[in-house]
Amino acid sequence: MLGLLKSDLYRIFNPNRLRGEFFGCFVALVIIIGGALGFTAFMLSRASTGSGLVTSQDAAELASEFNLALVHPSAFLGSILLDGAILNIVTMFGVVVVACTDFRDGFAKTLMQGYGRATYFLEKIVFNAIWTALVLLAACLIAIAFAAILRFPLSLDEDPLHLFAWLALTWLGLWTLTLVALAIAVLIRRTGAVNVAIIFIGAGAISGFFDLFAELCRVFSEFKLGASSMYAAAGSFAELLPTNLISRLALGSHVLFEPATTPGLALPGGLATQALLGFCIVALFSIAIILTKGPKREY
Amino acid sequence: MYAIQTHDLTKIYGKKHAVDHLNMTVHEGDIYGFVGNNGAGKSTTMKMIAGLASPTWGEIELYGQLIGAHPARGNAGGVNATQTHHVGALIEEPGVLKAHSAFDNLMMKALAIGVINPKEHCRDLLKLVGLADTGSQPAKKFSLGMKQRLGLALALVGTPDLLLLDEPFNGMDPQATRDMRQALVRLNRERGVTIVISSHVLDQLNRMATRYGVVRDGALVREITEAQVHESCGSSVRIKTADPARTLATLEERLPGANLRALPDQAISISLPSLVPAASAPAAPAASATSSSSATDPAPAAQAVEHISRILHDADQVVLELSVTERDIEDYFVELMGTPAPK
Repeated sequence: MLGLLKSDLYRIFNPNRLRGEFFGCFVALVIIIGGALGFTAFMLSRASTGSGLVTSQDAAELASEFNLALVHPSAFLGSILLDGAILNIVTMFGVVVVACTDFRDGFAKTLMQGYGRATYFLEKIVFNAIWTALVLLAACLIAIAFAAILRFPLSLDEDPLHLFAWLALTWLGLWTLTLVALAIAVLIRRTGAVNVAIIFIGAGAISGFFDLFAELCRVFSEFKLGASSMYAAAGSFAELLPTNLISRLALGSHVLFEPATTPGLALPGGLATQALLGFCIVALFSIAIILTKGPKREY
Repeated sequence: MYAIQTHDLTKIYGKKHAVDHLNMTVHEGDIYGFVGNNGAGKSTTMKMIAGLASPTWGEIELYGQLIGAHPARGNAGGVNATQTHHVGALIEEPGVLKAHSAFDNLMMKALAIGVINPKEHCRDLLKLVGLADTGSQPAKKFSLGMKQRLGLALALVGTPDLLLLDEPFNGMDPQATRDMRQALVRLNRERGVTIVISSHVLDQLNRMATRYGVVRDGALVREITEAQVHESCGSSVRIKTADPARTLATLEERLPGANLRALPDQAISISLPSLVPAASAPAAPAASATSSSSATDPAPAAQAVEHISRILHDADQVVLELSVTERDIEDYFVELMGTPAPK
């Protein structure tokens, strides 16, 4: 399996005319993060002058929110990278491009000859973890670099252990999403349909649906129309979904110490435990799909 | 040792038996020509051997090791991790990453299987298949023949012990085909690589194969050696007499070791190659036409006919027909491919 990992790393870092998938991802991150921070800087400058396309009230609100984000590195990184589902979609797309290209071009069967189908998919699961770490690291460095270039007053005042825990959970959450993406690619195997599914899932459409359902159950239960237990179940389920958890992590490391948000499910350790539990459940479910369905197909 | 043995290998898609209780044996060091019509089950069989598809029933042994079996007997996921011999395959379309160059494609596979000095190995393979000049050109710009050559190179990465090649010469020009064929034969002779190769171009197979397996409707019709094919397809003398039974007995006595066959129309066929040792020995004091022939020289058709004619004359046989027939290897295989598999 180590050989398969070396092969995938060679591929994503192929410098030959920058064909490696990582370079494409890096360029996309530079454009998106640079664009987001550049626009923020533009808005903040308009807030101080009070003129132009933005009203001074909107600019002041943005400045207030952004200044809160600048208090801790995790809050800054979370607001830029996680709040708009940027990293969700970029990391998911990265693994799907590799997997779907392997299936479409038939390269999967070239590699499976040496290792077998099950080992191929096992390697992809491990590779996703490495890919997620690389993308997260690159995104953080790009964000910090742009913050320095645009002279944002970013504070570095944060407990290193808290920052590390936040980064670890963020990595785990993003890795879980890549496993979901790979499971979808294994099941569907049509690039177009997989890409659409990833956008929906990465942007939080599925968790949004369950949030809405849980909210409806809550409303019914308030009017004593039953559904209180359904609200607890649906609400807990929605709060354990990776995209919901990642959007909470966008606020920074301090949320790890807040109480869990699962209605009717008391979790010791608060949101940190909730995130760990949610990511692990979805990751294991996705791994089960990948390892049972993937090797059964023919290549 | 056998490189490949299959026992009752079966693959069912819906109601169709793509492979039907196939019992195939490939000896180590063979170049095994896999012959059959389109849809006969050749590619499916190769996929199962390569671990790219799971059998519905039956077993596959590679070098004595069980690698694929019905789920009830375990190991049905096509997991090849415990294999001690390396398999390379080119089945159906070559699996290449179109956005990457030929060299990068080879490097990725070389790294995956742990080749030592992968760069040098890949450059050598590119030279072998005639793609050394492609540089950084992405594979999506290759012609069909170039993609096929790259697929062949990918199958050769890591110098496999067993090569499974499904129509490997598709799209290749005659020069490239000859070069590839010679390279494969060299690999077989110098390194003992076992090759299973399917092709519709029987002429190509005829120049390489040491053994043939003929499949029809998913089942193996016959397994024959190269010598047996030439035996069956080579020149033969056709004899028809008034007393076929007595003629047959006479010929068996006077031509020991000759390959005699009784035909449905009461004629007798004698394989010419099998007449070589018999024709060179004196059959009777009066029949000395070919006695001066060296045992190592093939019996010319005319001499063989003369020799047989003298034998029959000496035995007072009335000859109704005596002729030399040639059989095309293609006709032979086409006939076999139309033959139902034995139950």
